[in-house]
Amino acid sequence: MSDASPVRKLGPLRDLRADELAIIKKMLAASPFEAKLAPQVSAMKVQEMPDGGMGSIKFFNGRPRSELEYGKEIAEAAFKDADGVPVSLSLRVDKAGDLFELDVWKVDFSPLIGYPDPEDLEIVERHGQLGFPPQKS
Amino acid sequence: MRGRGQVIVFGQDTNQISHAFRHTDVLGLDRAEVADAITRNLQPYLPLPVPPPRDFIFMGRVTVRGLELSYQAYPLSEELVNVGRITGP
Repeated sequence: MSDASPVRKLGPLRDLRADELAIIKKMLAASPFEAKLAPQVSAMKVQEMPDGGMGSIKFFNGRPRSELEYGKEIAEAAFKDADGVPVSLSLRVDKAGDLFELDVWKVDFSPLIGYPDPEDLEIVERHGQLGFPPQKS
Repeated sequence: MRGRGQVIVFGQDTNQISHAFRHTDVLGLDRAEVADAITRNLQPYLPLPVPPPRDFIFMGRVTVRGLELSYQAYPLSEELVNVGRITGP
């Protein structure tokens, strides 16, 4: 495995699509950051990340931000893509608590077909537990 | 990398591997060292069940050169575990 880090080009700045916004709003609602971040998110620009078409996006807050500014995950969610393959979403903020990225991982690394209706998005709560998430009570 | 019958994969192409390791790259960590630590950490849990509980992903934690990293893995089959997300402290 090479240690070389190729130049990772982000896509052009664009607005959030309606389906992305709906998903992110649902994830924010499940996080302690909703009051601060929900009013800002609609107006934020994003750039697509080079992840092979899985749909990860980086939020743009007026300047480029290095991965070193990553702070923490504030919400995790999951759904099944149209082909039945599970997709994991991780909404992250930077060290200042501003929206940083939405990491999308389709578990077979294939391109995302599309986001579900937010009703079909499941918020994953791990409560700090390692392994698989605890079963819902 | 293989562990207890399941091969552990960190992405299918250069972009996806870079995406998975992007947080550890900027920390100056060697990809092979990170991958080895994750593979060793996963060993006691292998084989991961297929399908996993509720089809959710597995989360683990390793320490590499004093830095605590989180990783997420999904058993795609009885032969293959994909690791698609690694984040730093």
